[in-house]
Amino acid sequence: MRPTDNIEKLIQKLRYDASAETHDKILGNVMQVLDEVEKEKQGAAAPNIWRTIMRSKITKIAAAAVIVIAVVLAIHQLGSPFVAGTPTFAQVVQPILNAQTAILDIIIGEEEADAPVIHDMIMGSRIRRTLSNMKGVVSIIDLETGRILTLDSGKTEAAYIDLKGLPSIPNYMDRLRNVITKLQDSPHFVVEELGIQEFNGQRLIGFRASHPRVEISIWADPETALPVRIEQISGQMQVICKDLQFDVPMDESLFSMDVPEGYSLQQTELDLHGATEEDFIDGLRIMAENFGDGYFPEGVAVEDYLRQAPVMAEKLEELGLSEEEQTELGLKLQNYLLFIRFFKGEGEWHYAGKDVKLGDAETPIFWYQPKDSETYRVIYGDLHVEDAASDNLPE
Amino acid sequence: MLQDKLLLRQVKSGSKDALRLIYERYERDLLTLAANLLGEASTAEDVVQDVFVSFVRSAQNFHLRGSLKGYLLTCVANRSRDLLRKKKRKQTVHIAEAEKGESNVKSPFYAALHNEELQKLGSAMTDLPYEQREVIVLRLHGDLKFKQIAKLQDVSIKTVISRYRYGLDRLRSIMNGEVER
Repeated sequence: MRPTDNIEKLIQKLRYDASAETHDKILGNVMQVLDEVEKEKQGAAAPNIWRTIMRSKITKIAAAAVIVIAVVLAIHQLGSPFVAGTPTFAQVVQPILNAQTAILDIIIGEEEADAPVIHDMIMGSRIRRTLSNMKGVVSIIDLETGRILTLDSGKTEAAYIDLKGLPSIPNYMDRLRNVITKLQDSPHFVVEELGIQEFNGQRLIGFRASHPRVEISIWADPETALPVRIEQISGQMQVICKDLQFDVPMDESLFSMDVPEGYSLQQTELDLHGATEEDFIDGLRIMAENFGDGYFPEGVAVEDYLRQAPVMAEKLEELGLSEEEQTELGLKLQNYLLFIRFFKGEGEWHYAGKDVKLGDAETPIFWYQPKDSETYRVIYGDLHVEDAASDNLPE
Repeated sequence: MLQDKLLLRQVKSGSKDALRLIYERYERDLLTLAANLLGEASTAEDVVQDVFVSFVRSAQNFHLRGSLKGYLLTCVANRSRDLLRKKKRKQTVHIAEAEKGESNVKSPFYAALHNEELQKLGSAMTDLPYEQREVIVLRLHGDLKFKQIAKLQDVSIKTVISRYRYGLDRLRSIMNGEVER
């Protein structure tokens, strides 16, 4: 047989092996491009978090609700520690107690230059909410009926979300006043003065009110005693309310719960307190399997979820799920988040799942004390659960 | 394939290790393809680098549907063809003629081969019409299926198979001295 009889094998010998120098040169140049891309991404990713969440079909409605829910009670909770510790502190609280309407900006997590800002207008039982990175999208929250209306003017789409488990609040500002009044005598709050600090060129006087479960700092204009900034840390969630204004005249039509003509309408329900331990475990599995390459997420707090959302949205697209599967996954993630957001256990939950692989039966990743229980529930890396006495908890 | 998806996901997250793994896994195949199509090692290196740069830049919006190797090979083939077309436009001669013209001056890539028989084969390769050479190289060095090559060349599978057979027959003949180059 002549060598050319097997011409294909001969052609396969026409190979090109790059020298080590060529290899390093090309790879080095490509790596440099990856560095550039990463820098560009860091600059661009943060402001687009909300947009990315909303782009994803599965989380669209659920995320809208959860985003709203994440801070819907922020001001409500702010009321708790407003105890008149000093006359100056009392003066600072007074405008809140007397206000009929309010306008404020809210930031979840750290206040960075490109952090998304939630803008709230409050009147009676209703909050009109917009997000800085979602132009054309408005949510009206009616705390009396427990309903949210989300309007996307760009797409002429509307959605009603009925909230189950939210107590009826006929007048938000009244409610706030009542909470403050009731808690004024509580012995658990401690107020300390923080002195004068500068925020965006404005000198403000601060006070910190502490409680075992919550810590709030309130900053006011020293000349007028009007509060302009409130920082709250509750569990693992930080909420910053800033640029507060009170008794600003507002048109009632801004708070209408009617769907404008020409809008398509969707409707869904959200049970704020319906999430169970099983839901949370299910969510942990989904997070590890689908978004963590087999590892549990770095954190499970609301802000961790929001931080992971853009990457999750991308990975979801890669999974190539059907619409039904996407909806199912979206609902599961919603309950996973609600379990943490409206945590019903005693004290605080603890998470230690970072860098733990799904299936690791030895490592505890989450533990908490259910309400009225003497023992704790400990979830392990293989997602089995054990009851443990407080003496046997992971360190 | 799953491994590729995993690596791609990691590249999207900025992993240099994942990018290195992808590059090192396919470097040889891609350079071999480009060198055989273009006949020049240095141009082949430029093409492979350009393909990877483009891959990294577009990775964020990239959704892998087939194999990553197939995707990268297709990119190299397309870029190589574009390059030759640009060259053709510059020289204002037909691509096949330009290729044949080049073959008279031995391709630097093939000329650098140490084996005389391979040099002769390489020289014969440059004598083939570009479309035939592309089919042969994609099939034998890229392991692409005729169906994939047909899609890439925008012709029927039948045409691709014909190009492959005619090309091999011609190479056989040249190598056996039955045909004058």
